[in-house]
Amino acid sequence: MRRRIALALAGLCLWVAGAALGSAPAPRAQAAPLMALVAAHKSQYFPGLSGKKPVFLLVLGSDARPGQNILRERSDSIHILGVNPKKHAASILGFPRDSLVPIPGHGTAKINSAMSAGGPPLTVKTIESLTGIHINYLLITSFRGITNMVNTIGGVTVDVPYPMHDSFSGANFNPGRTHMNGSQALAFARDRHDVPGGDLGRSADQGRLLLSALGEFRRDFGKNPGVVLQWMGAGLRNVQTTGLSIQDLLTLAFTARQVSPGKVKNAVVPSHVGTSGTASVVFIDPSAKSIYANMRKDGLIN
Amino acid sequence: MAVSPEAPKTARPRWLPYAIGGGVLAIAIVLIVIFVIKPGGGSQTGLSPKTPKFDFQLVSTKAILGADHTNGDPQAVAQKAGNDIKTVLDRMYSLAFLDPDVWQSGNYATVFGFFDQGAAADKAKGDASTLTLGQDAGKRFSTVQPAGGFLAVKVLVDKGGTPVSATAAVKFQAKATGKNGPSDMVVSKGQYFMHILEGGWTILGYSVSRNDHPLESGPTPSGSSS
Repeated sequence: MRRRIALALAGLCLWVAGAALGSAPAPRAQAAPLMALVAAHKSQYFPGLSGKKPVFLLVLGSDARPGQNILRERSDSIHILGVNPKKHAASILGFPRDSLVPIPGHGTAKINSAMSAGGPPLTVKTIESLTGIHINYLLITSFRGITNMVNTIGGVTVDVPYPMHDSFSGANFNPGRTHMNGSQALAFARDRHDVPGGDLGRSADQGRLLLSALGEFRRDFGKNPGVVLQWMGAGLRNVQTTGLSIQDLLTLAFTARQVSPGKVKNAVVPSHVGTSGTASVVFIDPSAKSIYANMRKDGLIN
Repeated sequence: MAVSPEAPKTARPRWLPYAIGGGVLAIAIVLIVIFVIKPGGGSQTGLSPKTPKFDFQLVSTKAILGADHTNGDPQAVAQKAGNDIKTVLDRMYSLAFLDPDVWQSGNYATVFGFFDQGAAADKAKGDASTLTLGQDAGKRFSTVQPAGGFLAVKVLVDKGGTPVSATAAVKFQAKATGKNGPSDMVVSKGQYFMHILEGGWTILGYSVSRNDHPLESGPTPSGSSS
């Protein structure tokens, strides 16, 4: 809301100034001669990513509570974003937090424990050794970060796929397009109790939230490209990044505006729920290897 | 007659010419960087004395925080950045629309020095008809006078209190008097995405439109009888 007010004020200032100048087109005193110059055209250039090489981002949601270090708690939301600049397409691949995977130097354990055991570097290493995908950038946020970020950008509209009424997460949604504030978006991303597939369904919902944010950004950008700075500010204040300079972030934002949500495949790694000892875990299916290979090739899931 | 022994050479080291040549080359490179590559650098001496004075009115400057806590006063940082950006755009618009030496010749090379060298500058050259008065302006117009310009700047300030990126929303107007016809109001409106580099604020991207329109012409023959 604050962003929209600020934008409206900036726009108002410009147009009031314009009106004071008498910029409204003046009617011609007589019929326009053929030689009259009337130029009306627009030119744009937004320096997004170019080239064939895909770019991969690892997006983590830390389960750190207030006062805890978000880089040393478990990562309960884990997604690889593959971006294909040439095709203006992308993919989101989610990993259920309970996925049992080899963690370099730590044996086999739940994937979300990589961050608490070795911070972001070990998480990246775990994902890279699991998938063979080289991660270019890492983004980590927290419960508070998601809430703040969504509030700062004025909320997100999410296509809720099924009824979600869960007292644990606070999710209370009927199916259909729903505009969510920060707390609601967080509840949507956390709900696993009444979601089909539990942890797997939740991972898909987290991908849906990312897609909704992409749609929101594109809508905002279409109305006023200057919003890119507010989005970047919201991101920088609420997301910790590694390997990402301001210019990289701007480039990614300009790239995102080219990617229609319809050209983004949101998937969860094929897997099934089981047990390991007394613990409930998720086993990643061997068929996941072909998805990793697909993504490595061009960033996309075919 | 005995041949006199070869006169001893003066003590000039062999490497000296190379050192001098290297020095000259280094100075040349520095000058090229300053006057050609440096964004807006070419404009330092670019404006002809006949150029009508123009500067944007900076109507707002806003700091966008890139961290919960930033060093110093981010609004003061944004204000300074806003003024710096205004200086850059004052010069760029003066060269692109007002300097008669430039628009009469149709050579806007200095304007493209304000863009990030590479893809942004190349694209800007292709968009010259939007970003400048146009290559045929010299054939169309006899004079061009500024009619106002407004600028609103937003500046992303990082954790260290440094301005790192900015958007500049502009509206620029100029009255262009036609050589053989009515006058037109030249209107350039849009946004520039800017990044601070060593040489100053440079344009990385833009979304700019032109909406030139005819101005009301002078008294018509029927209306001027009294």
